[in-house]
Amino acid sequence: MKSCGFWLIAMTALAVPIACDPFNTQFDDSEGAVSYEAEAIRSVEFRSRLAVMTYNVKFGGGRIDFFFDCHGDEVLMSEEEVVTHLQGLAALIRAADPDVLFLQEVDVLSKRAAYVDQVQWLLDETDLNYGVYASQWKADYVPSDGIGAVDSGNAILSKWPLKDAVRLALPLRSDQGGLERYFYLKRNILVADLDVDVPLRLVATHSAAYSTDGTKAEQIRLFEKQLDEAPGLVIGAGDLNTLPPGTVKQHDFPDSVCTDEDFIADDYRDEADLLASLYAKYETAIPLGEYQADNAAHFTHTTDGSGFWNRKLDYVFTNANVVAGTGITHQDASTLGLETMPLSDHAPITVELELP
Amino acid sequence: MSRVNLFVRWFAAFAFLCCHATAESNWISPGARTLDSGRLEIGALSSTAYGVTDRVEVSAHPLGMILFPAAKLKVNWWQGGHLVCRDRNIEFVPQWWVSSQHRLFVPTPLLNFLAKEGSGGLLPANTDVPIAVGMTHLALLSRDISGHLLSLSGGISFSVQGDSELPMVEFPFLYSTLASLYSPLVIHAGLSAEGVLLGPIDYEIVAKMHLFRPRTDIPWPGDTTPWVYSQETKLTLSARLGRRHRLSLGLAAALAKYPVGTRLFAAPTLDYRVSF
Repeated sequence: MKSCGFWLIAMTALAVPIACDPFNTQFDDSEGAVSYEAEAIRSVEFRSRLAVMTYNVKFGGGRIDFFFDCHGDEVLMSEEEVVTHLQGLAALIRAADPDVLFLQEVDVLSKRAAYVDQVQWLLDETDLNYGVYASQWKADYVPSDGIGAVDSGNAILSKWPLKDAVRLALPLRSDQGGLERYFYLKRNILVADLDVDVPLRLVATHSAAYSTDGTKAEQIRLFEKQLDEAPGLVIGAGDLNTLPPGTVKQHDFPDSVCTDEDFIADDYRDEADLLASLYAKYETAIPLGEYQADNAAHFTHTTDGSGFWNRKLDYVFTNANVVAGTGITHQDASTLGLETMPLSDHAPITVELELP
Repeated sequence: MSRVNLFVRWFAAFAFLCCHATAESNWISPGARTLDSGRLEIGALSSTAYGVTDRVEVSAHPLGMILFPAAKLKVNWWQGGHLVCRDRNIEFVPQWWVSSQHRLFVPTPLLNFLAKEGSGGLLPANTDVPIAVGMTHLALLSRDISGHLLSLSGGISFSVQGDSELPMVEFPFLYSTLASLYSPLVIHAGLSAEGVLLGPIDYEIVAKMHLFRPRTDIPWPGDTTPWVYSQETKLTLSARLGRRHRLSLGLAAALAKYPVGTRLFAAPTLDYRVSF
């Protein structure tokens, strides 16, 4: 049956020769990011102490058990479900009150998220005013698993205007067939400058979760290169899909129930030092020593909503001064007064930076 | 036998059959004209049609019945024309046809086939596929102008189905075929032209417009669900091979408004028909 499906897709691909990219899945190596503005701008004076947050919001899917993490079989959400989840996310974001918010897995035009433009929705429902967006998974139609149209990616939201935003394409996995790769995720780095008196570059990414060919390592190296080449102050954040050096548990996580190897992201033993260079060169929201002293207090991810966070995948790196003690992984209601487990399969991280 | 030799032999056979073709065959038409009484046409990839009388034609797709059971009835209600004297007989030569076409289809098996995990799954595997029966009713008007048949059509489709939150299938070509499952009413309009292009080569151009407004529970970007369209055009060239055989090649294009915007898709078509 699977090969029958393959041929159905193959014939479809042959049947639409009118364009090289009939389902609009491709990107240039470098292209402008999509800009957003809140419906009502709430003017805020720029200040040297900057609150930063990074959050993988799982396309507003909350804790619905989707097919891809193998806990359930859901594919599509209703608009009511999406808006309910977004209301929870917006409440948490308002409580954290970040000046700059890095988002991963935010959908802007996806059937699975009832076509709700989540970047616009979150801008309108929080105190953030401006946004830039770079798609990491875009297709007019994904003919697999009932996914249909999808446009999902990384975003940077800010209280102040953003300029010169670009989407830089990251290398694609080479361990997939051509047809699968055509419809698959295309990771990127989103770069934008904060348009304020202090030059400040923002770099967002979400690197590969499943790869067997070293693509993830290369993507993280290119993320680091972007930070290195920033002309001045820089903040890089996102879901890097790998563990910090010194992590005790590196494989065989209890929430990994997938048997299809395409969806297994369970073994990080070959990646123990992927982030060593970033940790060596940059300050981070959660200092490495603090993490190594107590891994569990800083875990940010689990696919099992009835369990607890069991690995750290989300990061903020910067060459600005991190205000000591402000880096927080919001694992439960003890920090912001709101539970984070029901909102996404990732916990957000916040940190405050002191700019010169 | 070398490949060139084989090609030459095939080409010679094709040319021979074309040379013995007749221009007077009444092949199945997208317009109001019906098949002659007793004429049976079998399509390799398209539907099989039968002229029950000179004014009633039925058609169905035997292989397609497995996945998409459907049957079509075309009834010619009126013909207008003039009388001519031929071989001492007075014959009526029709120039106008007014017909109606009625199609009954059951999309449930197709939807069940599309609802699956992995590649080719156009619907989620957990889709609650409803029992559904759809109908299309069209009025057809055709006019023969110097051997070319020009036709207009208009009509509606609707479906009766069980309770289900069936997601829309926004896949090219299936989008309009299944539209009555997502919309209370689908409005159809079309025009076509067909005739002899050159010698044994026939042409057929069919342009159809489908208009529908998805139900409000179908997700769509923005606050309101708009009227959407799917405009499909098909150009076919057919070679008559003798009196009974016809080989067709064509290109079908669909321009439609989807939730992600207006998109154009095209696909080649191929068919072989034999008549009895």
